Amino acid sequence: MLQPEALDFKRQLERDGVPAPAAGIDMDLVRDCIHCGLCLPKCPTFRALHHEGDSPRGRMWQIKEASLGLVGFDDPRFQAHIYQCFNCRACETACPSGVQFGAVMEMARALTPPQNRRDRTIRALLLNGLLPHPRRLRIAGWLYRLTRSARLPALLRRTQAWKILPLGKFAAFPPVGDTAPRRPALAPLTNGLDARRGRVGLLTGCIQDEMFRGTNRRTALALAANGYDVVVPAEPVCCGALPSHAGESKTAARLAARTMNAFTALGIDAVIVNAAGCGSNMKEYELQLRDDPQRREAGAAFSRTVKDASEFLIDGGMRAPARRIRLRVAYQDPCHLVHGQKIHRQPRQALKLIPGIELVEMTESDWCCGSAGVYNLTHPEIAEQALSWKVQHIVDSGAQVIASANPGCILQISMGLQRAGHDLPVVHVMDLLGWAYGDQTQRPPVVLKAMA
Amino acid sequence: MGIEARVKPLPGHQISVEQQRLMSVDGLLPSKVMRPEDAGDAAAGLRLCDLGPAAVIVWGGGTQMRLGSVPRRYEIAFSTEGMTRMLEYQPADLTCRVEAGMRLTDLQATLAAQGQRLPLDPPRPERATVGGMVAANANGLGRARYGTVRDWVIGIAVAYPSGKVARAGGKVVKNVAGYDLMKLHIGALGTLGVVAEVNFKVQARPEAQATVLGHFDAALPAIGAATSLARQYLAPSAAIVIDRHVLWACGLTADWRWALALKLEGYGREVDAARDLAVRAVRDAGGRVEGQDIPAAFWDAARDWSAPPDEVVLLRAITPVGKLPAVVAAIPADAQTLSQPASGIVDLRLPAATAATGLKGLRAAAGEEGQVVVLSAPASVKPGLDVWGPPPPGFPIMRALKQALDPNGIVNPGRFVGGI
Amino acid sequence: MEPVKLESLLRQLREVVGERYAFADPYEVRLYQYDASPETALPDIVVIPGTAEEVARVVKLCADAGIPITARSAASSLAGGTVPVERGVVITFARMDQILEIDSDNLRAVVQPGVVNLALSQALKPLGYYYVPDPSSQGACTIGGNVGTNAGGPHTLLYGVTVNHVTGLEVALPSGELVQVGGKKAAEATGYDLAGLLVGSEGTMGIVTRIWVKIQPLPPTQKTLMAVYPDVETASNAVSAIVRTGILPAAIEMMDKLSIQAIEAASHAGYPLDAGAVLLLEVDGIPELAEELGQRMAKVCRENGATEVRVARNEAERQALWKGRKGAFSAMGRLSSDFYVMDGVVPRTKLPDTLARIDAISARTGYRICNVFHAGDGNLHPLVLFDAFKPGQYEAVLRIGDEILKLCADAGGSVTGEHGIGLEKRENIRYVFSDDDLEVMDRIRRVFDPHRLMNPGKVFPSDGLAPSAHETLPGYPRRQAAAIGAGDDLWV
Repeated sequence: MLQPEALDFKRQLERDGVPAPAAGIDMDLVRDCIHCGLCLPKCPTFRALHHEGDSPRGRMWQIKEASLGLVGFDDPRFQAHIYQCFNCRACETACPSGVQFGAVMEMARALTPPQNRRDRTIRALLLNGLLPHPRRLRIAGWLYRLTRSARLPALLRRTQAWKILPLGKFAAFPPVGDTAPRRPALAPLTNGLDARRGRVGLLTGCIQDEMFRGTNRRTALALAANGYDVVVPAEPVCCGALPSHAGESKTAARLAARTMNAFTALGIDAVIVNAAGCGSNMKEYELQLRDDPQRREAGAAFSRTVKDASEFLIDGGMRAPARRIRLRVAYQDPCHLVHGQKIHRQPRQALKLIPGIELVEMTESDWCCGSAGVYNLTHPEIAEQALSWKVQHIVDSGAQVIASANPGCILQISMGLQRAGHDLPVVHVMDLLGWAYGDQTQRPPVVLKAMA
Repeated sequence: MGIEARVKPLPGHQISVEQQRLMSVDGLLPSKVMRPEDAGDAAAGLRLCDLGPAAVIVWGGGTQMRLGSVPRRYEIAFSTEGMTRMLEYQPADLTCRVEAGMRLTDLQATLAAQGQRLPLDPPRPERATVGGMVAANANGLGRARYGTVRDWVIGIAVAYPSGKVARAGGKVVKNVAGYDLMKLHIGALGTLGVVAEVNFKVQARPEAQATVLGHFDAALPAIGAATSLARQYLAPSAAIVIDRHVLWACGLTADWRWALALKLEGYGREVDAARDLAVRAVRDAGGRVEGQDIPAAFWDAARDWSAPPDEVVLLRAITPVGKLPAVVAAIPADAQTLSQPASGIVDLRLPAATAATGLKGLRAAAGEEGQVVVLSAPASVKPGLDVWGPPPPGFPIMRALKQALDPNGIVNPGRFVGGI
Repeated sequence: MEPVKLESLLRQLREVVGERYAFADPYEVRLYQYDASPETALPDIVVIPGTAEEVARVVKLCADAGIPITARSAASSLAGGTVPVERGVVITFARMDQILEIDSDNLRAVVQPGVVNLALSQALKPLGYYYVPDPSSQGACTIGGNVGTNAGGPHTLLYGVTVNHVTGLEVALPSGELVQVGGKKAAEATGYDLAGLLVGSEGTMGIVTRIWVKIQPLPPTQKTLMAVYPDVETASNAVSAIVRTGILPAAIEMMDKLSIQAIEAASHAGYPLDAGAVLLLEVDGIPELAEELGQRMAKVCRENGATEVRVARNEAERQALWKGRKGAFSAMGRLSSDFYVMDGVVPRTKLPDTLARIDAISARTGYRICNVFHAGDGNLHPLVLFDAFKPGQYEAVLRIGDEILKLCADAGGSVTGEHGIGLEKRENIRYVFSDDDLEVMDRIRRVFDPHRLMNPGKVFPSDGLAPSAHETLPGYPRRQAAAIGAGDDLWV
């Protein structure tokens, strides 16, 4: 096979003049990377696969070469490396040059279809077929909770059937969360307690609302306990995070527009998000709507009102809850919070404000657990490797409860721990806050004991 | 060497019988002497010897001439006594460049005038030369804190048998251009060429100094105290464990079985804190600290103890620190010892008669990771001692290096490891 | 190279390391054409061995086949040291990243070459120790790479560079042997100091598969000061003044105006944007001493023209100051799409003059040059900013680099302090070494590697001394000595 020559700008300039990059690629963003390599030790897929092509620098290089026409966007090897990325953006935190890796990766993914059939099926079913459709989503959620209330997880574990069924491991090892098919709806307005400080909207989300409505309720409670009126949109909205991170840019843009409309109508000071992936996505609407000159500016303005729940509470001066929870808790940084939104301090501070909680740090708390949106479905083998590191670090930390801030991470880590035989509940930071502010539902036994 | 070479006239100057005797090595006498005046001169002289071929033994101050195996041949005494200049010295850069024949006390005096020093203290600096120190890798008691010759040489000029002078390194403290040939020549005993010029980095003299002297009934607790102090941030600049004979040789009169002497250097506050730490370490290890007057020349005498008079054999064991107890257990009863535990070094003086047995026992104790070398031995017993021990790993490469740089084997033939 | 020969080599390599870890797919090997320098060249085969024994077998297979071997680890070389300029096989250490032993009794650690520099210090920290050399890229660069280049870093001013902290190496030689030179004990071994020779040989003699390093106790406290100066000249003179007092800080770093702007944009380290130059000084010691030395240094700084001296009050402030410095090169991405880093050294006393001359070059050529460097040991890192997409700029920048390195050499310094000669400075090495010097070095290299197959095309000039069988390959930017060695007359 004839190999194109090495990427040598000098020769190229002599021969072809100044290069014109591929359409849909912002070459300035691509060229921010100076291939210094500082990102490599922070990349989970590089650690798992040992291949430069699966490192952030290698991926930037491939995108640069593809943008300059040296390799094809449709090359299956290009697609493989691009889709093998968690898009956890740990490399962004490591990068001193300020490369916006997530943005570049999403541009690249938008230009190349996913490589394997599994990936395409999941996209068709989940990202395009389910998430954008509130009715279908509600039915799926109802079915999921029905299986839990019918004790299907125990059956799956006993028969080992989870090993062969699609999504079997998630069904057999479910997280702390909603288990009843029918649940009370979240009140359209929760009034702030004590001195009123403002009015905020709460994104209930798609998967979050179907599996963790209890967490949403506790988030609303925590906000209310801090003096905020909390409103939720009448019609549930999906912010488009999963499609966006997977490169499904059209679906993502449509959902972004819908989300903005839903909240703009509510007359609020801030949009509060308790799912890190959603928050990160909603803070980048400007980027997603870059091809829509009318909405682009509005997107930027909207993004400025979006706050992660712990960010909002801590930065506004959180009131310490009254109830004591005597627990050793480790915090797992969701990638889209720590790398995507650069929020590291606030969730920890929120936990420390709960009386009785001892916060312990686990090794590599800011490493991806392998959930990575739909990655654990599209690339289960690599995701499992990342999960095994995570489980080990959690066990080594000696924590009794793991707190995180994103439904995907909670699902994945919870499954990993239970499957490995560790009875360590994984909950949301807002769960612990909500319980400390007085909510009494869905408390796992270890929390009950710690509050007795 | 062949008959043919022997009939050729040898290069160099005639020397008197008296001079011949002064420049003998392990009983061998030179026929002629060469006294080059600079690096180029040295290279030209070596080239003549190479054409001979005439075997050369390089002489500096002569303090390390009893190190090494018995030479295979010896025709020319190659003396650096004509190369004694300080070529460059810029105190604000903390660097200098000197010729190999410069005496260490002369170098230190020049540096001291600027409040600086080279923190290397090989034995008998009033005679030892810079070149000899480099070739023999002769270090003193400060090695655990300040490192060894390799940590202070930043550049080198070497005269080779090819007649060329080649340099490596440079005059700046940080430099990775080209190969680090300084390392190759340090401790090579002049078997790859004649070190002609050396560039050093130097340091400011410490603001304060103190000595702590402790004594023990057994060697191991003293060694334990020294190694535990070496792991501290405020590690002593020298820590030696000596028996009573060495203690007396260093000018003290106390009748202690074992003594631990600690030299503390640094900024004033540091030395104060280090003294407290040292006293505590000695007491924790079961030793006693007494307000003994320490003679001014104590440390100089301790340093020079490792360059003994002719009639004794001096051995040096170097092992990982964990192996020290095994080595100490193997020390013959008639030995005198000075050890530097932090560096895993034990020096022993043995009577000539029992040297061979002692050496064997120590080698067994030091094990594969350690080594025992004969640093000095009278000509009468040396042929019966395996001076270097078994060739180290990588020896084929070493022999090939010798072959590449000195193909006719004229510089210091036979004195180095494995007969190099 | 003949495709048949490569195909059979690939087959043999796969028998050693497994199918997955040896590949020649043209798409995949393209990802091993670069490092952190602007140089690129394509390899034929990439191998990712998992053990020292595998490395030795790989090296032997390549050597027997007469195929060049280039070792690569983090590939953060700024000198093209890991670019396979004569093609052949690239060996990477992504799988050999284990700390094998920490022996605090002997103050040693034993590591595989792929261990990240900072990872070692992080593993040692709970035990109260650290590994001293701390290149600015320490978050990514590996100990194996550090050994190859004899890497330095800010804190080597007081404690020395990599070679001062390595006591033993296990190395795979072209002969197929796996030899251990030195080891745990003090580096006063019998025989030639091969470990010392191999450190900094840039992979041209053998491939290091295991490393014994010294570790040392963490300093009880570190006092970090930032001194602000109106210009680099005043700051440089202050450096000499500090050294003259007899205090040798653990680090003295300088950043000029342009660097400060880039760093502030990237990391908000807290450097004043209106400063002409900033010195970052650090002293180690027991708390009361560090405090005293900090005050003494602050006084010297003020007496020598500092407009402001700020002392980091806590570890967070100290980390912020250092984060800015350590991320400085990469932060240049904020000022310019491309930049070219140099690594010259001058005697400390020549700093003001050298910096003024570099300024003049910038003014004459119109290229912005910023300076962020280890002032304490005179190790300059001028960065020339340019745009690789603009025709002619890359060549112009190379000429500027050449001129600056000549300047350093003429001032009694060196053309590289810590990055290595690599590919980029192989012609510049002539500024500091004569043909006789280089001939001896090449002779020594050939003792290890008779056919010059180990990282060929590096360290030695391309035109004569070290010709090898693979000189005339297409596809990499070969710079002729004649074209760039001419100095000033190229500037009309």
